[in-house]
Amino acid sequence: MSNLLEKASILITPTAYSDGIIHAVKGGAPADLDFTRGSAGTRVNAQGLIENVASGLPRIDYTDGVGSILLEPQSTNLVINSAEGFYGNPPASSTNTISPDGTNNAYIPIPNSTSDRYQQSIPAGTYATGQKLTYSWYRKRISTPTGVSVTGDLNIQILVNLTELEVNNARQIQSDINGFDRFEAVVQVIDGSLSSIFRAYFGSVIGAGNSSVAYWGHQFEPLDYATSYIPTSGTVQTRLKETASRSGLSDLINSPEGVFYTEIKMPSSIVYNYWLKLSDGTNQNYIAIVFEETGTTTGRTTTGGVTQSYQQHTSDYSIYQKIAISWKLNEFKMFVNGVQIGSTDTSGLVPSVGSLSQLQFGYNINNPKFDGNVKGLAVYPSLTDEELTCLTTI
Amino acid sequence: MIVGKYEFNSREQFLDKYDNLHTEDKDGNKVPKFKFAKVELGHITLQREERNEEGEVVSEAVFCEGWCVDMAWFLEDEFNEEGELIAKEHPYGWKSYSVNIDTEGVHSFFGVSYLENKF
Repeated sequence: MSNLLEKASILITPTAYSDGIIHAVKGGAPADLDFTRGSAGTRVNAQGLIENVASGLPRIDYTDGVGSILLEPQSTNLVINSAEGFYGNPPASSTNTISPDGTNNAYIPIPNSTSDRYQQSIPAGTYATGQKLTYSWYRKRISTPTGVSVTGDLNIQILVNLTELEVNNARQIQSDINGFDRFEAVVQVIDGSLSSIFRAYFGSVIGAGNSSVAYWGHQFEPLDYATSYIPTSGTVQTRLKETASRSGLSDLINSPEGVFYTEIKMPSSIVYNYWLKLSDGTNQNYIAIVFEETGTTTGRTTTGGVTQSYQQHTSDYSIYQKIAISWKLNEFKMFVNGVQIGSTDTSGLVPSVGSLSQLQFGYNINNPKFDGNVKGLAVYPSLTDEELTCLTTI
Repeated sequence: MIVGKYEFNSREQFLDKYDNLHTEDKDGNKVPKFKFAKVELGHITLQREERNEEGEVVSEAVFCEGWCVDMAWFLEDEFNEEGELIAKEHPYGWKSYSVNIDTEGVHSFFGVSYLENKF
């Protein structure tokens, strides 16, 4: 099995990249993915620090300690001074400490009132009824709180025209980014025609003589979950969406028979079906791995606009999983984490010779959407069941 | 990339202009005629609320009456018959609502200066 990587006709890993290109490990220059992001972004670098990445450069993200290609949708940070945050009632004073970006710009507030808090106001009519917004922040405990603590040491309460989706719904989403953990809380607009206020109180958790907690990297974005940090300093900032695709691959994809493989992690809550797709450039003929907003991962083969195979698996795709789908005339299989899902689908047509020529993150090439961390992506001419098991074993 | 700032009379007016930037494919999906990105800022805050030491509001926040939008336009270079670069223009119907300011404004595309990349 040691030669499995050698068998791939296309292999993409989070290694080489340049401006506008994610370089393929196998397949040569024709298999390099064209990459776009019109703005800068941030990543956790190999040293574990958050750093800016210039527009057009792919992001190899080390949030989990191991590199992955990070692809995200457009998002906007509404907090105008993200390092310090925007106060409703400001603390009496604050001191600074080293933040996840390695500079001395995290804040240790010293509140003198239980009213002290971070706050974001949203003018009436800005968002529709039901719009979800996510507040996220980084926190480091300098000393252990002695009072009753809340998740992330911020108490989300006394909201105006916003509702928490669950009581105390704040939750930790990242660990130990230069000593800081990251948290998020999701709220929803009750009535879009009214103004809204989000409040996050320090409460009794911190304060002089009690304990001290450092905060940094405040982000309030109109999405269902937190995306990578978007730093701001005086103005709202938008990170534009990322796209990755390649056409002209017909010599590297065996259309009538093959294997499409990825090792991938998705956000915990996605609002679209996110597609990884080999196609002929249309939505009529394709092989796809689809992460559905329902929480189901599906393997799909469509020829002539007609679904030939549809296999599905429900799993927590917010943790890395290895997925492979194989296609062949009257023989379709799906393997996840070393196990074949269900039985082999024994009926169905496959794309004709030379037809599959395009690899893309996203369903629609004209308006692709994707959000995930990718550790590996490969296309094979064919693999045995034993090899599929080996390839996908965690 | 060119950054444009716009103030429309209403969100509905903006959505109408935005729709005109698309065609439809045979599946009924909206297909952009060219690459762009939008950020709807809405009724932006022109002046923040002010409070006194007791926390009482002494002046209410003032919001823009128009619907504010920042656009990132990814326009291809075009040349005239003499080979000279043709100055880029707002898409048809957008110029009337463009706002030309001499600061970065209340919103930016991360790492992209409006002042250095405006029409």
